[in-house]
Amino acid sequence: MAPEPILSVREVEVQFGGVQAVAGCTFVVAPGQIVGLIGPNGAGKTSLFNAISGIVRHYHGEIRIAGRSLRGLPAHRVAALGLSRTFQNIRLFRSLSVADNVLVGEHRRIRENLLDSAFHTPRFHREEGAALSRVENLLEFVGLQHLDPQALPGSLPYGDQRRLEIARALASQPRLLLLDEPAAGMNTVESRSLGILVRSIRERGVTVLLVEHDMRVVMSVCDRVVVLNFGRLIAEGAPSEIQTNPEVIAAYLGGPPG
Amino acid sequence: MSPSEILQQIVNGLVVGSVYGLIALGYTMVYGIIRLINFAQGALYELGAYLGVAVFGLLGTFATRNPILGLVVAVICSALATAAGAYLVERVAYRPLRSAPPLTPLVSSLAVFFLVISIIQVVTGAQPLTYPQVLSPRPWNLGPVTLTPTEVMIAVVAIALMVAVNFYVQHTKTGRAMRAIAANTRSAPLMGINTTRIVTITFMLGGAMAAVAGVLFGINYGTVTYNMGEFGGLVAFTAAVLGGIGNVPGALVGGLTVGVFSSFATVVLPNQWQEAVVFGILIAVLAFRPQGILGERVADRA
Repeated sequence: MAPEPILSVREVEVQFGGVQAVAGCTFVVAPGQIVGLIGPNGAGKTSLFNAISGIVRHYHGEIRIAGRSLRGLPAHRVAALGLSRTFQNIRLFRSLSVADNVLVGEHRRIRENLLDSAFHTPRFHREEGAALSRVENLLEFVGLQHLDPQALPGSLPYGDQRRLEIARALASQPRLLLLDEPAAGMNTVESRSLGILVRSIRERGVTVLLVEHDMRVVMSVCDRVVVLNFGRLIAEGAPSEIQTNPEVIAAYLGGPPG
Repeated sequence: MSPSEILQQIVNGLVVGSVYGLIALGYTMVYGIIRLINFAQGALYELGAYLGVAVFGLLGTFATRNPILGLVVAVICSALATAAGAYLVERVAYRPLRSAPPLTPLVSSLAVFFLVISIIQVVTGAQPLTYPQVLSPRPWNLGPVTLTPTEVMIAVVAIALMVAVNFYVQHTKTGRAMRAIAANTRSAPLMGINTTRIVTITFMLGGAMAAVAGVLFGINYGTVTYNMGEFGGLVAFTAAVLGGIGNVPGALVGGLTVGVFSSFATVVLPNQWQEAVVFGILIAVLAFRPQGILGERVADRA
């Protein structure tokens, strides 16, 4: 029997006003996989991400993480189920330092209360100290060991900001990581090393769902690819199958299917 | 004015200013995380002062025999009860309006302000209430300036609390969550932060600090009146704006600055001019340096 999917999306529809952004999508993501979610602009990929991560709470159909329905859960509760994400337009906390950005990702893991912090109990020092050393490890893992932890993220090069956002997302120890166009704006060398990072994230036991336009990244790292067009799922399979699927080619080139 | 008189006014100003700064914390923290100017803060300050008197009344002869212990109990009880009041205000008057246009909760906060003050006026019959004498009224001569033990205690307590709140915001898990919400309200929940809970904590912390300020004011002046929250609240608001609203150390800087200015104003001008001077400062800051002394440009925050 196949293991229980980490993510299951069943007949999900998302509407904004009169626009049907996602029009009935069904697919599952098995634990330990790297799944690519691709499709032309406006295909509904980011809307689907927003529904999965609890930003968009009005949708039809059903989304489950490790068997648990997300219906009605606010974003912070979805995060508590082990979901974490990055954004197409990087959304770091700009007034917080590099270290604090990652520490915010640790929010749910740090156990301290008002009395601990008021009286600097051993627990406070232990928790904050352990959190800081995890931050160092994470920065090293994403290749940002050279950064000054007290720097503000706005001063970093674009690629480093993307990696920092990934470090922040990993800080909550997610089971499922959603990456929204992590290679956007990167050159060939950068996107290749990003692909390596995505694979090493999987090696940490994190399942990855990846929206990406850079086909070299998608084809080289994904185990499976799901293709959306006009909010519908039009193809699903191994990267090699997708590349030769006539409906996918038509969707990207704008020709008639078939 | 002689140099020692000037020094004396500066010191007096710093003492009152530290109390204003403590109230200003509530304005600045709430504004920082949900962009609301919570005018109810002035009423919470007044509520704290009255609850302090009430605790002293309940303690009765215990407080007369152990005045300092009595004061500690009064401060803690008043802070806890006012924090509970702040929770109630947030729950009833602001949370249902979280997705309303920004002006709506502002109007709601003005309503809460007048509601709380009116209730205090009705309950106490608008009679001023008297605080007991806790520390010796005999002033200390410290070089060119004189200060009462009460004034020294007020400045020490208020400044220590402001430093502690700043540490809390900068170096704890909850403080980081507050700063994350301030930086990006929509992304913070995705990090597992329960924004509703953090906003509530912020309101309660602001209320507790206002209550401590209220009790300190009562101890210093001996009487509290039903309209003390109007002037106190608006001076503290001026302090928050002057320091840079949304900026926690700015509350201290703004409080001390407003305190020193108003202290000089009482010497140079007739007493009735004090309010005019404070609001003159407010208008000048808004016109010439809206980001305040330590604040960032608003455009950078958006």
